[in-house]
Amino acid sequence: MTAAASPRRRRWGIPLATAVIALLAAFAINPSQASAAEAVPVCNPTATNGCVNGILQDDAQQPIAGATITLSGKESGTTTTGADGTWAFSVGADGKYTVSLDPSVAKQHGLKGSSETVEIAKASFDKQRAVVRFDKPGLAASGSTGASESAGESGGSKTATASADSASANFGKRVWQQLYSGIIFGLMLGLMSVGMNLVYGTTGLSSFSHGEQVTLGGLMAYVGTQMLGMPVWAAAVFAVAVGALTGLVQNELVWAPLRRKRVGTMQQMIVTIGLSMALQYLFQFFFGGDIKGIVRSVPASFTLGPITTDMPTLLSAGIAILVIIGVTVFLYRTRLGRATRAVSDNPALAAASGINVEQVVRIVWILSCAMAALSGVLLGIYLNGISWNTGATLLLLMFAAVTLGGLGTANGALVGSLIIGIVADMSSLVIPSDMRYASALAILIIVLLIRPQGIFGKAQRVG
Amino acid sequence: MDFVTIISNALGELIAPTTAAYALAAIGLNIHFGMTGLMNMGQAGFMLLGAYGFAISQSMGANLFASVCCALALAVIYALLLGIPTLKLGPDYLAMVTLAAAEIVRIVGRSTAMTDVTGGSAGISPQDFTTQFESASPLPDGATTFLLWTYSNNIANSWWVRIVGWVLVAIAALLCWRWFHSPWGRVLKGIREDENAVRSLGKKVTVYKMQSLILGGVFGALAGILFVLPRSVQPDSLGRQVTFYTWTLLLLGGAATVLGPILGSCVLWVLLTFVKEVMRNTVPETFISSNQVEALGWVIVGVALMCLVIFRPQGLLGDRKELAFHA
Repeated sequence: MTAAASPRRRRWGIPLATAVIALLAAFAINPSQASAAEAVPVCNPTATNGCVNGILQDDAQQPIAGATITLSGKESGTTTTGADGTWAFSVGADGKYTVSLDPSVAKQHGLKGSSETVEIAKASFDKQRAVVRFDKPGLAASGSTGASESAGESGGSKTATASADSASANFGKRVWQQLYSGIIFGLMLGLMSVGMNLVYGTTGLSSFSHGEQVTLGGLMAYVGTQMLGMPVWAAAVFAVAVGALTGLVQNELVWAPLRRKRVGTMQQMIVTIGLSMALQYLFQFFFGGDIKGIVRSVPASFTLGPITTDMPTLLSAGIAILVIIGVTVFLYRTRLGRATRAVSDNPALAAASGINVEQVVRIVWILSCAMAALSGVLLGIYLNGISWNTGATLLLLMFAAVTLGGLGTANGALVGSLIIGIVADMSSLVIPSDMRYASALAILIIVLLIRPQGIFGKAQRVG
Repeated sequence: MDFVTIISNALGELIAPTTAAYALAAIGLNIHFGMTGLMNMGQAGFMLLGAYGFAISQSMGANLFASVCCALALAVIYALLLGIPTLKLGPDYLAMVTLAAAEIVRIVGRSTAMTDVTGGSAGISPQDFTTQFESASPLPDGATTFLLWTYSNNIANSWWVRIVGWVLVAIAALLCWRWFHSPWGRVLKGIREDENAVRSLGKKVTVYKMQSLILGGVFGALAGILFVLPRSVQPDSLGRQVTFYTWTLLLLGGAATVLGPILGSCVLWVLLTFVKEVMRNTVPETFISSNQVEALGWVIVGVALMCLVIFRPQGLLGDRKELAFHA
């Protein structure tokens, strides 16, 4: 940055920062008394959300596409039915909900009713999901019986044992719960972004296809458990192995030749965009558009102080922490790890001092893709399923985390991820939960405004 | 199975409003990337804001001119907001921020909290914002057949949208041709080639970059209006996929050329429609469903983008020496 440019930067920067903060504050102040339910393609109940869903069919059992469904009650929202007539809301609060359909549409298709009231209780196994059918009014089936189309759960016999008072969460408890889920989410995000940042550090490439590596991990675990009949741990190992293999293969087939051809990193970045598109839709081609559940049972949840959780979640978090510690030890204590950091710092100097840069980059690609695959598995278990575009939706959060921590700094990515995870989940306390990712992305922009090198980045000329 | 239908469907894409919208968006992106070297990965954000600006002001009863101005004003403000923090940073940062900002626009637009304004994920249906545009048409009512194609004159996916769309594209291309050869355009090219050299000549690089970002964004907003006129405003139909499509067809036609974006858009959509139609009609439904055909179309675009960037980064019309890629 030149000396002439910096005063302007200050002059523009401060009003803009205030504007953005004011905007965020406006969101925060705006009281959301009837907080919003989220319209989702497929809904799976978890400890923090219940589901109201159904398939809109006419009296001849033909799906009605494009009809508007309105939800009111504790939370409200609208959605339109998909091509196969399905619709779903993910709701946060327990209580009574009324689902309604435009009466003229109902009459036109010969439906007997146009509104239905159901009750949701997240902690109760048979009331965490309500299925509404307009073609047979009064048969608003509660529970999992009518929900066989969703992959995330099926007739698991375990009943949630959470006491009723933990479900009717007061605000303080919700704060703790959201903080907890934010940390879990942040840890998983950390697994992804540490790998992404290692690649950036050693090659200068921001990989847009890293999200697809995450999806690949989750889907491979699904293949392992549901198609090949493996136990979960074996499927996880299988998924990580496939992930590592794709890392090796794509480095050998695509990135190494491109580096040899001295193709610029911007050009390579567009190649990753192409790869991301191709992979994402290959997943959709082979696995379809719905959510694939890795584990087909709803685990027993229990309370731990102020939070409600379950064993798989804790286990996933534990694995994530162990792997992150392992990678840190690798980077700081082993010879290869030191070499990796040396390459990140200055590839030319590292090569001159006898480090095989290509070898290091190959290992970084393998490691990064394996970690992405692992995070995909853990995320799939934590979120009760993974779909073809799960990774793509998380890509921007990874970017936000990596930039926040400082591009190219390994430990920065972890801290950045935790912050992004916590902010994304905590922000749903004050803004509608379907906007929570937007808050994380807003942080990215604010960070660039105030400290473009990120928390751990070296202050240097970045422009 | 009917080969003539397949051909006429595919060729219909040649003049479709969507093709014109993508061409216009790519012309905007060409100002960003081809002329100035800015990696804007969020052109869809400009388009979505333009569409919202137009549709919402129309549904509130503004006249056509005011609505278009509203859309353009939104794009200008958005470009300023994006540009101020990022134009001084490296290209990675601009790419990430534009992508993130486009996603923020989409997430906020489809949020249930915004249902009163933007219609949430269901969007804004055409009868709320297209009536004025349709009634402004000088064409008589009814339908017209021209060569292979029959469309209604004024309603929905009409000849009127097509005419307006392609006239806009032509004007944009003419303007670009003027700008590319103006002293101003030469400064932008200088910035693309070597920012510091231009700065050392006393030009205010950031100001020029900002002008380029705003100008390209304005074309993006116009493209957004054109994109939603034959359908409805749906935030999810203007997601980041649209940005990636725009990049693909810009690189296909040739960045930093005047006609590249238009050629790219026509070629991409005609070929893609042709391939999809052939697959739909020849491969049995039990083997590949129509959803899967759609997915395969995407895979093709993705692979095409990769191959283009690796093997022919200058595209169909571009000049290899005038490559806009700089690491």
